[in-house]
Amino acid sequence: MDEFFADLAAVYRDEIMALAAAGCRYVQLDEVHFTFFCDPALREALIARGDDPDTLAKTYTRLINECIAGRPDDMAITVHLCRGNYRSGWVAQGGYEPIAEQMFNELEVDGFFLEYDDDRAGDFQPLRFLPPGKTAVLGMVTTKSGDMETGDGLKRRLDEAAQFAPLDQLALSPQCGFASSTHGNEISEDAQWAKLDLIVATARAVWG
Amino acid sequence: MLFNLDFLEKIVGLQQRKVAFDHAFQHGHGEDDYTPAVLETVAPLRHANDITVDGYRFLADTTDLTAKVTMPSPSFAH
Repeated sequence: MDEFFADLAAVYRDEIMALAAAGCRYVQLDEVHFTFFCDPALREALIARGDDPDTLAKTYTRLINECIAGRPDDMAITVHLCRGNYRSGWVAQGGYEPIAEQMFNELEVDGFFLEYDDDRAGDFQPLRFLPPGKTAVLGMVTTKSGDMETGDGLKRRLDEAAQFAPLDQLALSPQCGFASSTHGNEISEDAQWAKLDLIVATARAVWG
Repeated sequence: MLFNLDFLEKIVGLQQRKVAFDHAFQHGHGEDDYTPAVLETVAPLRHANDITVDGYRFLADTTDLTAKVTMPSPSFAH
């Protein structure tokens, strides 16, 4: 497998350097498997097939670090921790505690887009492992439905999160994409714009 | 089609294969007939052509703000 991972990392490095040459300075990796390692049922399934979730988390951390090695100093790299997003459905559930310390500290990225739109993502305590210099973008606004959050509700939840990580290392975003496939989620375009407007207004109120 | 497969299938050496998936999507509206594809390695992996650069250029031309490119994590290929 070493050769496979080395080749795969080289592919990503080539792509990221091509983007850098074209002027791109912001790349995000959509990472699903780290959230699988937080789901007790999926952890059991991995163990049953002979994999150790904690070893896999370390393997994927090394792989991602090798993929982004050599990027320009002024290029931001973030990861989105996704629990699945297909026609408003999802795959995994469970808080970030099993992976937080290792992921936040060893993954050599600038920020983490974390789903936090419902109980499936757990509480904010794992944010206590967020080291200085890295940002946690909290996906508190769901993209799975048109149910509207409120600005006051988002501010209250940001206050809760700020008990575990400095507010200036936090940010606000949608929980995931409004469409990860050609089908899209079960949410109207008007609701999507309303949610984006709410995020902008809330962010301006909180961070200026 | 999921966006991540658009990227991964352009890596030389990877191809899609349909398999049974034990942990289907839940509480959505499309789980009845959805079987996600997995990837299999059929040759040494290679970056033959840029995958996202044209998309980045298109996006960057439409805005003065920072254009972000999203790609699947490499763990998808494992």
